[in-house]
Amino acid sequence: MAFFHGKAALIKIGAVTIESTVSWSLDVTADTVDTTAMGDDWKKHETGFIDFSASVEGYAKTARATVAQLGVADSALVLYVDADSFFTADTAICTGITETANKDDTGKISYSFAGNDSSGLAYT
Amino acid sequence: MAEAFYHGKSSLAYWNTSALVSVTDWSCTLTADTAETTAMAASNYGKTRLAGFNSGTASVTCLATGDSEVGEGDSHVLELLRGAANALGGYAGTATCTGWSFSEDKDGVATITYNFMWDGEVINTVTEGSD
Repeated sequence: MAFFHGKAALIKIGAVTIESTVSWSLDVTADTVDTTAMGDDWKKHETGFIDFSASVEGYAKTARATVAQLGVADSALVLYVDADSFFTADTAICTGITETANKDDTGKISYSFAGNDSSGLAYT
Repeated sequence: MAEAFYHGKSSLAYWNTSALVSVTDWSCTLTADTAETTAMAASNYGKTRLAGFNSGTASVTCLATGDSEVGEGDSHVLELLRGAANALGGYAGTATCTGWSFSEDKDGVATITYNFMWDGEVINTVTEGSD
């Protein structure tokens, strides 16, 4: 068993790498419904749909066309843990972009994604 | 033009074609609404969605120098420049000032933060910088 160092991580939209990223995170959830009935001692649940959201943080770049990425839903999102291991969604929607400029710092940018894949998320 | 890092010390903010003075930082947040399209099907595992409307907000913080430069409720073109040259890009569009907050601390100088809501399309092309 090996650890993963973040320096080997990578994020791709389709086949294109998002340049100058510093971190990413992935949240996966499963809807559940309560199936507890009278007579039970403990609650029981049935699983519904799987969902995920992801965020990517990085350095902003001059001349980068960010607005055109907003709401785009036709590309795969690939979150690399390292060069060989990654999470893939066939499609994800870019639901948010925040760019910040501060007088004492490098320009920063963050992206938010929502899952859009009926087969869920795959790990390779 | 090739993409490059930029330092915020060279960034600028313009409101109604006038440069806001003593800006310390700006932020632009854009969001895309989504509507779910997940439907019943034994083979469906993950949720699916359609993209809806785009919208966004922005904020600009300045060292306070007196009266507010931006009036609450005013609507004008807001440009947030990554650097002095237009080619570096940024964010531009019509925005409404939804309010501002003034703060002062015994250990610092007074600052004012203007909050904006973009009103319509936002583009990366800016025009108030140098060509």
